[in-house]
Amino acid sequence: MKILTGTELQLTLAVAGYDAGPRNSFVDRQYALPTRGFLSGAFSAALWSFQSFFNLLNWTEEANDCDDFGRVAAGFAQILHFLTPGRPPATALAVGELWYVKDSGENHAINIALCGPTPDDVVCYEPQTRKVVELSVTEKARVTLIRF
Amino acid sequence: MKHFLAMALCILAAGCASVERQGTIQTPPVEYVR
Repeated sequence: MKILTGTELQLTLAVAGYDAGPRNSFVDRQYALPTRGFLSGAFSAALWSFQSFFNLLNWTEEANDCDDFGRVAAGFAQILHFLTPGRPPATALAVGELWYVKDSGENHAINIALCGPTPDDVVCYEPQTRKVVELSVTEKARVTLIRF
Repeated sequence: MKHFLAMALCILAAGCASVERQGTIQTPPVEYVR
């Protein structure tokens, strides 16, 4: 099983262009990596079931907006990691939160995951649509927070 | 006064009552990069 240290995770994201400077937060020592297929498949279906159960599917100003979607999705991923039989011991899951400024000028929050050991394996995930998304080069340059 | 307090407590309790939820939360195991 591929395990990265917090420093390796941070460096891999930085090489891929994701760096929030002092607002980077990688608080765990070791991270297990989810597969891309898991994120776009079983995780997305399960996240929908969670959002649906708690009536969280609809964006609501401040109370359930983009940062809340991101926080809930990252927390839910952590719950699934914790519940997974045979989970690599003493690891967190490399699914976090990402805040950035969109090319439209609007602040936005989504999720970010590392699904392999290289910078090409960084995956951005929109928890409001439960789809993998791509950030532009200029959006990557305006990342304001990364929290794992 | 007591009556008023009792009413206020009832309204508060009703407002804070937990919602009965239906449905199932899926909890699939994480697939890890090997």
